[in-house]
Amino acid sequence: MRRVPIFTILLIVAGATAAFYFVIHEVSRTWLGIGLRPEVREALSRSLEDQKRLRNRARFEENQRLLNRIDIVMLSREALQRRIETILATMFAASLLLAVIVWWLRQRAEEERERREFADRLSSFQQAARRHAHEIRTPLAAARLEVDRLVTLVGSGAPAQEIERASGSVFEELDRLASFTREFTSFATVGQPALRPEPLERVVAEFCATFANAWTGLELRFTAPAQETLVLIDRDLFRQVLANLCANSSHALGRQAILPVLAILPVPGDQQDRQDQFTQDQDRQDCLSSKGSMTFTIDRDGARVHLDASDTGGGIPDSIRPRIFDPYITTRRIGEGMGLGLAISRKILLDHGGDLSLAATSPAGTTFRITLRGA
Amino acid sequence: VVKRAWLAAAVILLQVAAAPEPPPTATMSDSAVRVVFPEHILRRAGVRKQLASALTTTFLVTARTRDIAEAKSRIEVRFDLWDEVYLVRRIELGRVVEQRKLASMNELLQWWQTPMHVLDVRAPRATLDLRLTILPFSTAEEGDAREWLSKSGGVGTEQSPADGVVGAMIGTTIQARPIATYRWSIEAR
Repeated sequence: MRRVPIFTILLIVAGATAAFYFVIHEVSRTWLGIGLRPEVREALSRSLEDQKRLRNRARFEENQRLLNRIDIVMLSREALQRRIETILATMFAASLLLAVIVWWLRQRAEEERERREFADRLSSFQQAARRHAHEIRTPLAAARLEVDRLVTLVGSGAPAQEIERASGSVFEELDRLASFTREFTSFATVGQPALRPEPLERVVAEFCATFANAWTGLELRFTAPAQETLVLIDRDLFRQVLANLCANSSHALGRQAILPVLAILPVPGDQQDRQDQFTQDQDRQDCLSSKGSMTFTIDRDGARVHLDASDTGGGIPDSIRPRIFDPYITTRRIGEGMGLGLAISRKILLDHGGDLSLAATSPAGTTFRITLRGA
Repeated sequence: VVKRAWLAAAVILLQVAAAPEPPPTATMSDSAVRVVFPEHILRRAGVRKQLASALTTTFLVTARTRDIAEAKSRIEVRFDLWDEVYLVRRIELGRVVEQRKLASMNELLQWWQTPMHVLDVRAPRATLDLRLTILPFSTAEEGDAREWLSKSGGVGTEQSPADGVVGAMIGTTIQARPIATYRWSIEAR
């Protein structure tokens, strides 16, 4: 945005004020001229004579008072006109100046915001690049070492068992790389939801039953309300959102500090594939888990339906709270996740015409609010 | 000879025209200083025109000596269009009020010659600093016109006349500006 020099602004204000002054000069002159026309005075004088002839003293005095007033205004006409013009022009100039100042301040604020956004974007890209490099380099380095060891073992005629263990390690590292690319791919390929009316309490109850043992130490709690709540959702994508939130809580319970979720989103495939992948990834996190719960609550608000997911984790650190839904924002260690889970979950819900928001967080736990459209 | 006569007449006329207007005369009796203002004040074109209007022409008198602080008195003259008489009111020192109805300009001029008590001085004689300010209308008429104008401008209503900035604007603009101001320094004895 090109900044307009202050001199130009002042010139415009001065020009506009001069034009306004000219207009108001004409208007006030006309206004005063109408009231103070000599014909009016003459007519009033004649009227006075008539009233006198008619002996109508009340009307006579009324007209005389009016005549006096006109005479007085006539005597002050020039001063009055000057005063009106000056005050109106001053008020106009002040308003214009105020508007210009507000515009100028907004312009500066906008520039500042753009600068800050650019810096933030750059920072996010840097963070993402650093994370990608780490995520790839670590398993690559490990795989290379294992391959070296494998070559040595094969060359030295080591027992088949040992060779198999070494090759297993190589595959493990390659799986880790595959997992990384899968996570990355899932972020890029989140599809558009196929929305259908679904009873929310049934979807949540089924999720709790299916994933009851998915996260060690995380108990899923849900009491279905008596009344059925129909919402427009894509059941599979919606379950992914719930799974993300639960994985996040499980991790938080393990560390006693919630960390942005590890995206446990498999590439599109059948439901069994998703669950297999899900539990496989979860196994890696079991060691971090401790006792806690995730409670789901349904609340209706007009045409909107809220599903609150409240855990008993350690809360979200202040440092990442404002950007918790940004991609690659994570405090997890390398290999534990890309920090895409909440971004993906929110994207899914926005595509649903709803939203995902952080409702509350404290050392006692965190509540995420899922907002959906009622059917 | 004719030329000289014309020249002499012209010189005399010029001298008459250029002659200074006579100042008021001041007399003292029992420490009261009384002033008689000259007729030419009322005969002045602007004043005469104003006296013919229905507005109250106001003559503000301020008198002081070197030792005595200024004292104010006032004369108000209004031509009543209904009765076609001059209504005069003189407020002398000590707020002594005199009111009259005068049938003509001649009567007004005659009444104008009556002494007006403007100051008290405890001395056999005094030099009086006298100031006469002639205003085209009275304070009451000024207030009435202000209110009327503020309503006419669409700012105020019958119930609540204009106030605030606009009221102040009109209030300070509609002000009686002097038609004429005289200053004299005269001897009172």
